[in-house]
Formats: sequence, C-alpha cells, structure tokens
Amino acid sequence: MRERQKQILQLLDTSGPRLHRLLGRLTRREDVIGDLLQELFLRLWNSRAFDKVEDPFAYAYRTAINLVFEWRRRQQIACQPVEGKYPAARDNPSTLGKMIQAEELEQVLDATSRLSELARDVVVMRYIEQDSYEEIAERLGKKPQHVRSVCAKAMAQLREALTREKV
Amino acid sequence: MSEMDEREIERRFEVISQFEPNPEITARDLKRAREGLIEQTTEQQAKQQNIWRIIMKTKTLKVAAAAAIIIAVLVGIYEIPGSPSVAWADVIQPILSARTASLDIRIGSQGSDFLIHDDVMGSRIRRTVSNMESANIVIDFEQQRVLTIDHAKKTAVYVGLSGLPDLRNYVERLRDMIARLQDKPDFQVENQGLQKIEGKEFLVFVAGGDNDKVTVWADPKTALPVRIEQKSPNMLITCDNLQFDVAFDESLFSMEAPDGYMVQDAGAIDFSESSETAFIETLRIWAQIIEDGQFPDSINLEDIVKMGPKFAQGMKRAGLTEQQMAEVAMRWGQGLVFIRFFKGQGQWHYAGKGVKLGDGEAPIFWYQPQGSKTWRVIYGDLRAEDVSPENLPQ
Repeated sequence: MRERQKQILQLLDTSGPRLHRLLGRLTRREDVIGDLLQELFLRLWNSRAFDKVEDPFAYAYRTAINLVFEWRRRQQIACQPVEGKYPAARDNPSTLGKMIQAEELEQVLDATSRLSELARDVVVMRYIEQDSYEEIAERLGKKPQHVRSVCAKAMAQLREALTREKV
Repeated sequence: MSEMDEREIERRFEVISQFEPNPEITARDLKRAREGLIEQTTEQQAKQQNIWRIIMKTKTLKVAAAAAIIIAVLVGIYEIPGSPSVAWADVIQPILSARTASLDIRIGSQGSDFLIHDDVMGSRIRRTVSNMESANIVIDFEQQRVLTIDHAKKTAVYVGLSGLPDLRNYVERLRDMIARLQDKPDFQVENQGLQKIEGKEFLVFVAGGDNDKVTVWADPKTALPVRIEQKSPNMLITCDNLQFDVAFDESLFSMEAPDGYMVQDAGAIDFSESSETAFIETLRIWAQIIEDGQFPDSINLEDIVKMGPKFAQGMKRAGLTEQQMAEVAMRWGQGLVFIRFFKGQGQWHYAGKGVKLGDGEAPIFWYQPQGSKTWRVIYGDLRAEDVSPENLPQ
C-alpha cells in the first residue's frame, strides 16, 4: 500500500498542475477544480486498473476528462466564466460580449459532452490540450489515422449539434 | 438554417485552451488533494485490521463476482471458439443492415433456467440476466468496457476488456463471421424444410463444419431468423426471440454510473492473454476459494453462468479484502479466456469432479496444444506435464 501511495503522490507532484489546468479548462470554474482534483486522485487510488497501466499519466488524463464531463452533466446549467482569465470576445469586448462568449464556450463544451467517450477524449486532447495526433494515439493506444478519423467525425457531429442549437 | 463553421468551433476551443489557473489556487488545490489521499490511505489501513466484519457488510462483493461472470458469458457468446459455422448466410441478409437488435440467450440445454436478455445498439449491449435481477450490464465494445450496475445496492463496477479484437459493431461482427465461414472448405448448408416451434412453422437450416454446428429457424415469409442455436464441442448457445431494428431509448446504453452510486473500477481482462498459466490460476481460485478445497464438477459455460452466489460465498469465506475480491474475480475471469478462446487442437477435457486441490495423482484437465505431438495434462496439485497420446487419462 505504501508503494502505491508513493506512486500516486508522485503522479500528483509531477502531473498534478497539468491535470488541474485541464479540469479548469473543461469546467471553466476555479471554485470547483479543487474538489474535482481531489476526487480524481481518490478515483485513481481506488482503481485496480491503475496498477497495471503502462502510462499512469495517460490513464489519469482520461479519468480526468471522464470525471469533468460527468460533472458537467450534473450541472446542466451554464457555468459562469472565470473572471479575468479569458481574453475578451474577439468582436465583442463589452460585458455583453463576454456573456455571449461565455455562452458560446458552454455550448461547445456541452456539445462535446454528448460525444462518445472516445470522440470526447480525442477532441479534448486535440483542440483544448492541443496535443498532436501522434501523442493522442499513443495515449489512447490507437493508430494516428484512427484518431484523425475519430476527430473528423467528432467535428462533424459538433458542427451539426451546434448548427441545430443556432436555429 | 445557417451552418456552424468548423473554424468557429476551433476558435471556441482555442479560447478555452487559453485558460491558466491562478498559481496560488493550483498550489492550494494540489495540497488539498495530497492531504485527501493521505487521509484516505490511513483510513484504509485501519479498515484492514478488522476486515472480516467489513467483508460481511460489503456491497461490492456480489457485484465483483457478477462482473467476472458477465465477462465469462461475454466471451462465450460473442467469440465462439473454433469459428462457428452458420447456415444463416442464406437467411441473414436482412439483419446485416439492422442498427439495433433484441434477443434472449440461453446457455446449455433448453431446460436451463438461466436466461440472458440482450438489447444491442451499435457498439453497445445492454444485458440483463435472470439470476441477477437487480443488475444491469452495459457492454461497450468501442470503449472495451463493461459497466455492471446493481440498482438494489447502488453500486457500479467497471471492467475493462483489453486485447479484444475489433468489435465495434455487433452487426459488423455477424457479417465478418459469415464471410469467414464461407471461406471454410468444410462449410456445408442443409435446408431441412419446415419445422414447428410452439405451434408455428419455421424454415430450418443446419450449417456447419467438422466441429461446429449452427441451426437457424427462420420465418418462412420474411426470411428473418427467430432462433439460432450454436453448438460447439464444449458449448451450446441458443438465441431466441430475435428482433431487429427495435426502437430503443439511447440512455439505456449509457456507460455513466448513476449519481450517488458507489463506483468501483475492477481492472481489466486481457483477451490477448490466454495462457495455460492463467488457466491454472483460475483452477486454483476455483478449488481454493469457490469450492472450498475441491475442484468443480464442471467448467462448462452453462455452469459458470449459474455460479454467482457460490462465488460470492466463497470469497466471503476466504476473508478477502474488498480489493482482493475484485482482483480474485478478475484473475479467475482472465484464466477463462484460455478455454473460451481455446487455441489448441480438437477438444479440451475436464475431469476435476470429486478431486481435491493438491491431489498430484489425479489428472483434472488435458488438451493438445496447436502443432504439438504430445498433450498437456494438469493434475490436482496444479502441475502441468507433457504426456504422449498413449499415456493420456482414460
């Protein structure tokens, strides 16, 4: 047990800041990141699969994405933007513009939450974390061309979902 | 309708990706996570000192056992060892375009009271089984995960299915199976004409190769199969009440644990690992933990799927911790891959009935590895030896 505790604490030290930032990006709420980070590491602690994974960070990364989208579903309401952390809306620097932008960001994240788990992971890694297809493929144990194809299909689904919402 | 531009979606993601948390908040949250972990592990160590009492109350016990059994059933049904032969190529065409399906599955003889019901939608299957009425199972072939939800106990267990061949879609799988069978040199189809099931007439086709036989009962008007029976040397599976393109509520196939349920990750079964060593470990667990020192009477799938309560009792008796229970269940399931994906020549043989664990004189299992002139025999003390055909157990 001590060895396991050591391994997970080590992961927290080395990858905690990146996972924390990912949770922040996907929730857009600084007030909940702490709770989610704590829940994430408790899940890793209770996970049997964690002992067997070759890449603990990749496993934690995917668990974090799952966790945050579970949280988003529970919320079911638009979250407030993080004060002062986002650049002003491109064409709308006013307060109203910021509100519109916040709504737009929520829409795209909510649409992402309705994708399949694989598509969701790929979209987050590609567009939010800006990982390369090769990095994503390695992390997910897939081939880069498969990841590209999943990404393209996911983008088409997002476009369709967001177009529907615009009507 | 104005279409959403892909560049606009990318722009939104880019804005999201620019978020950087305040370093002070990051430091505070990391500290909290660290403290939470340390507290959790301390509590867990304290719990283990009085584990017997806890085991008697644990909620995940049955679910861990159930998850392993579900895997066993999954392996048995969706990957028939040695390529099942299917005459249904002649009657199956309408299914190939089906998006959804619903079917009842019976393992073993018609008298068997154990029944599985599967609803299939794309790469996901929602399964209910007759001896676990409060449990729902969702199998996701794309994500290679199984979620077992026990509504009575409010528990949710995830089991991974690593090393599976590409099983994205059930219907695609049927198509592959048909293509494979048609290429087999010993493939034959016999049309047996009309036969009655419960007063109704159906067209019956029997197809097969040397080792496997598949019987398909089809509606003579629609050519849709209503029953498929698959018979291989060590297994009989009957699929009944087949329906295609059923309208399902997509939420029934969700892989998310319901809110408020206790979630457990039981690890993964690696389907690429079907070693004799893993199977010996399964036999050891079976004898030592499930059967209290004796090998089971049978290791057929029909018996495996019925043994949920016995498995749970055995683990209780052994005084395992909650984590150990999940590990044991998974190790047991892992070894079953050996017989379900049997890669040896011909049939395997089991003779463990009445044999006690440790009995080095009694052969309990033997099989012929692919390309080998000798056989492998496993004895009651779980040693395995090469044995020439003339010295095989009778």
